[in-house]
Amino acid sequence: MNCQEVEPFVSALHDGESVSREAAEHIRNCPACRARLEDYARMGVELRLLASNAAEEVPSRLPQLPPLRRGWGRSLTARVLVPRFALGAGLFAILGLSAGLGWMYAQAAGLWFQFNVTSPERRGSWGDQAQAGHRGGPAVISTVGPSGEAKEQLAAMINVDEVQYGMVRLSIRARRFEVAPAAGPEAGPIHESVEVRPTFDEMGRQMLASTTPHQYDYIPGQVLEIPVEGGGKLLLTGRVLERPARFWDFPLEPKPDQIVLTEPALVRDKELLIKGLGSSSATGEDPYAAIFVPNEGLFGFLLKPIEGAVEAEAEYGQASFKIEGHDYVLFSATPITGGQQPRQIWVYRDPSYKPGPIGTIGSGSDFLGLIKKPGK
Amino acid sequence: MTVEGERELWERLKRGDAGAYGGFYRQHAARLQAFLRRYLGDAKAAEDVAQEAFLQLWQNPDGFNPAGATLRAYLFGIATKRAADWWRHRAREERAAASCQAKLPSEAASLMEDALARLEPEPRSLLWLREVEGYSCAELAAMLDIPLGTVKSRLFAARGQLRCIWMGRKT
Repeated sequence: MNCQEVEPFVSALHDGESVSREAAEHIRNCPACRARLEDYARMGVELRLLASNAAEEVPSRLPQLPPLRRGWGRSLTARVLVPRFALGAGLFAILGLSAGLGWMYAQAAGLWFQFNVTSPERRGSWGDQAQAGHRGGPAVISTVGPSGEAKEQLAAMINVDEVQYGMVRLSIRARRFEVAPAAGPEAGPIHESVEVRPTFDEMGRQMLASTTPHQYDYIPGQVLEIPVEGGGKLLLTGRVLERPARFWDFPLEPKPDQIVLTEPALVRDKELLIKGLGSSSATGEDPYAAIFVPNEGLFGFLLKPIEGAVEAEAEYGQASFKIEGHDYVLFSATPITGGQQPRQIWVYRDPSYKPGPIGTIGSGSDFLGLIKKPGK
Repeated sequence: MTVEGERELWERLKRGDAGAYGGFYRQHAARLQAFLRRYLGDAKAAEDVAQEAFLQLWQNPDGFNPAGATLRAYLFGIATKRAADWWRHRAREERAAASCQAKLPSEAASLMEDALARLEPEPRSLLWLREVEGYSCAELAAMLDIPLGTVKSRLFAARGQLRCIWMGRKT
């Protein structure tokens, strides 16, 4: 070992530690290392002398002793060091949580249930959105024959009792009405069609008055099969929303053989005739959707021409047409029909149609049967 | 002081016994302040840091582990950490070297005092705690929260530096 290697051992030896035999042998025989060891000893003495020379007076300023808090009180009220960013993050989290809870509470108080009802064949449907306590109007899905006579009617009335996230309590009356065919068996095969009329008013109410309401706990997102008194069923789908939807759960891309009116508005010569009717759609061979405007009559929108109908150009949610010199524009919150846009559709106006005192909206698969029905 | 005496003193401090605290203060304040004067090179700062160390002991006696060290070593440990903070704060203000070099030589009463003042604060405090206060390497390791080997190597380096300065000043 050389002196440089032994230097740490000299320090250790000065501190009273034992060192390796090799290091001890070197220190014993090396004048330089012995001198270093002696210097360390003298340095220690000098330092202690230096400390002794300094006056060892008790500092006069005794610290002010704050009262001590003990036990639970102390542990609960003791100050703790918290980094500023952690304090800020904590405050932010508390404020965010409070706002979120408040917002959720406020929203939960006013949840909306948006639903859609179809016949099992899904050729006609109607929808609505409501909050708890809503008492829905009657709707009728009619199967009608080729000459417009009603063959079968499924009437339903949906009340929304309670709306929660994950569960909606419904009270539903649904009944099937058989209508005897006007023609005899010799009349040949009957071509059936479906008609949906959501606002059937008093007639529908009377039809359902004797029907027992059934309660359902509907889980949003699922398909609820509603047994219909007298046979058959209806299918309900729906979802819970925190605010009313601008339009129903109708397709944003309807099929080419589908016609949809979603919250339609009808304008004539820049004058708004009617809006906020609801929604309705139909699909199939001859689907139509129709709206009734008080004092103006029924406007039927069809994908195929019929006698007396005028052409209209539909482009997504808008259709323009002209009747008796007036320019009309129909607006819908979703595309009116599918396929290549713009697309030609037809509009038939029946000024004599009077379904009731308020505007209505409906859809079906036999417009001619609708407007030729006796008693309208 | 015996282990039992240390524990009894600690228990009295935990109970907020101002008399026991006063006795402890009178017994160790002068030595602590002398150490801090060497460490900090600033008499006023040394007094302040010593006061802070005593106050911390009064307010938080639970920080002491009677199995690991003496109350005195615990007090010196608090003071050393606070003095190190003082140096860090001083360095941030870019006043460290100027103040230290300006004050201490004028107060030097001996070659050793002058040589000691020229050491960096950390080796200076370590040598003082070892040579003057008599703490063992193991006690210093516990007091300063550093490994025993680090204490030994730092002591070796500090002695080498001090010897170099001291011998140079003597010749």
